[in-house]
Amino acid sequence: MGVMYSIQYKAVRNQADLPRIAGFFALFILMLTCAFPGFSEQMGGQQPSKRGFTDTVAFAGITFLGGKQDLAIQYPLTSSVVKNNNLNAILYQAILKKPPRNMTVSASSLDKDDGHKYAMSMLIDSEAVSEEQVTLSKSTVYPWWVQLSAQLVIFDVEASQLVYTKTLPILRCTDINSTAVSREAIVQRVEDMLTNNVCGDHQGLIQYFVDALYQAPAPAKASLVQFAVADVIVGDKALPYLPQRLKESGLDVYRRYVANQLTKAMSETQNIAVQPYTADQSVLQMQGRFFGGEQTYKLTLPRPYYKVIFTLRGFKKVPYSKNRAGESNYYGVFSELAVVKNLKRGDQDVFRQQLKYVTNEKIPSGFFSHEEWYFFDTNLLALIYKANTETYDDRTEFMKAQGFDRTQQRAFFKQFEKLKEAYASCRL
Amino acid sequence: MSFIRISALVVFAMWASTGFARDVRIEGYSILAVTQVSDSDKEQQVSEALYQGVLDYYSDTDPNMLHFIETKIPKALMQKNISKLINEYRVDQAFDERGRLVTDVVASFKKSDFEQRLQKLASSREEITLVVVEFLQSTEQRLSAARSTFSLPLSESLSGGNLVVSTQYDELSDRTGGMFNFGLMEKEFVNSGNVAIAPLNAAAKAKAGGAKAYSAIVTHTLTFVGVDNLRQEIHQVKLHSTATIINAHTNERTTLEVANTLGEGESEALATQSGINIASRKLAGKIKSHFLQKL
Repeated sequence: MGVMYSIQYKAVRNQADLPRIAGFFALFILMLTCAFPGFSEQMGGQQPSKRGFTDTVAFAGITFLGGKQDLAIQYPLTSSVVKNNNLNAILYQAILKKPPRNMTVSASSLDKDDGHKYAMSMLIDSEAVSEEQVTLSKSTVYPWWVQLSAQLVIFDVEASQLVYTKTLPILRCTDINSTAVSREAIVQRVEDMLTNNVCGDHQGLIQYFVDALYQAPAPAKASLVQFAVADVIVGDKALPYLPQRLKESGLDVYRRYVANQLTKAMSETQNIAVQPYTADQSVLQMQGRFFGGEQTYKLTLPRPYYKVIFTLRGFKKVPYSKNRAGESNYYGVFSELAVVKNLKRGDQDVFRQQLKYVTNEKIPSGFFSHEEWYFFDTNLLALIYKANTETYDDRTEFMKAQGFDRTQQRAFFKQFEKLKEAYASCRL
Repeated sequence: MSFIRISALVVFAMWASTGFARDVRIEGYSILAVTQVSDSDKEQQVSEALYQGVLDYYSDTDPNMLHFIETKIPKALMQKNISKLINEYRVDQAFDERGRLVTDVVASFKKSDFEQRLQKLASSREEITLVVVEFLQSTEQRLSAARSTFSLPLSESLSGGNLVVSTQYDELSDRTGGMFNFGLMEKEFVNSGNVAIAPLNAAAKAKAGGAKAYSAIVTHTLTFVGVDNLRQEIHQVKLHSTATIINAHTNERTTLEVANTLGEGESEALATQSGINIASRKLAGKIKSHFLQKL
């Protein structure tokens, strides 16, 4: 009894011409048969090294999430520090001192005709500065802090897919001054946090990036199907709590920020192929490290197979207690997460659930100019991560806090099974 | 518009190695739908995936070469020897949810070695005489100041196989009774962006005698890009190169193109030379595979 073999090839080749060259064919086979042993002699019988192959990845430097106009709104300090101090060169030198284990990094532009297609970048995705004023026992002090967050991204420029993302530690450096902090001091702090140290810690964000790159796996093959955040809807009940600078930007900057956080969380926690929300500056800079090929890049990204639509329904602050020591409030984030299959005949829902996350935060008395926005922002990021990590089990605090009744819970997990299948189909 | 012209008429009576090894990255995969597989099946699937990777590479970059491989090289022979064409590779082999053995490979393919072997095979075929005139042009005046410093290595990259190229344009001028005049051709290109093909074809036929004769008009159009935004000390230029190959007997034309070549260097001159080198190497590869296809 024979075994049936069926081999599928990536491309079906046209074999119809073969009989037409039969006359030449016989002679050619003879010549090739003579030629191939020649290979062996030339190579000295050398056999290829299995698992020895490492991809060359183009160095795209430090990039920023969002469009060019986002720089002044979202990263006013970091973007100027990176430019004025030529931190791209410092980053590259740091990589050379501790090169990654599973890839080779090249500062030169790479030729697509040589098969190269991966670029990597240190993507700065948030910069926050808080300056406060506290009066204690009739004396006034000025607490202030700077927070930076970034990620390591490896991007496949051919498939327009993020094939690896790794969130670097979120760095927050706090200080208390006897006078209001100067802009120069804040800029110096940002520079230190990027290059030197973080509040006494011996390494800055660049070194964290180099360490993450050192550990990063070889870039994965792009998936034929992928997730992408297609839309972020900011509801009316969220608007009053947004900082003025975000309202003034027409909300696009904020939408990109939320979409990237969601993309990053899905990529990291599910290990799936994801597409960026937009072909923003970071994507363009990574694409710009390549040449060759007959085609030029399109500035639009391909249709994703699974679309994610995130609705930020609103933020809510509920006072809990207030006394001489200070006040305590609940800060809540309310959302809807939808995943739809992006079919040509129309969208098909895979998952659509309302999710919330609420924490109780205390503000000691004497604090002025405190930006409550960061409580909402932190809770939103927590919701995004927990929606990807704490939904597998109905006993997690996150799931209990949703307050689902039995029917709602059953419906949730029925949809979640479909979502898990979708994740599995996009896994790298 | 400033320009320089290079004419390359180099004779290669026999196959010669360029001494320039070049590997490229390839990706391939195969799927085997069986429930039980042996170790030899797994090895066979790696060879199959590597073979598909080579075909996919040529499908993307050089369809002429793909056609040549598919029609002239037996698949079994190529698969049997595939390991000799690969420097290093990485394999990911696993059963999918349908129980099929899926083999993914990423590899470093010895492209130049492989193509040199094919050229060697071609060298036993009838010689082809190829007259090449090459022009470099830019929309920016400053190229003209440095043009004499550039070398155009297309003829070197064209080495191998059964191509016969000559650099002796004086000789060609003599052979054609002055019909082939390089100086005139150069002025014509500056004035109109084109050259008359009759003198070229006459030169090719005169040089080839009764053998196959072809002409090639090669142009590189150069644009200065500026400095690299990550490495301010690195200058960049872009080139768009074309080669129009003309059968001197039938006037049949084929145009081959290499677009979007980037040259980088510590000065504009070095960037330009680097871009010319890359474009010439790529264009030579396309010209050679064009003639291989005619075997």
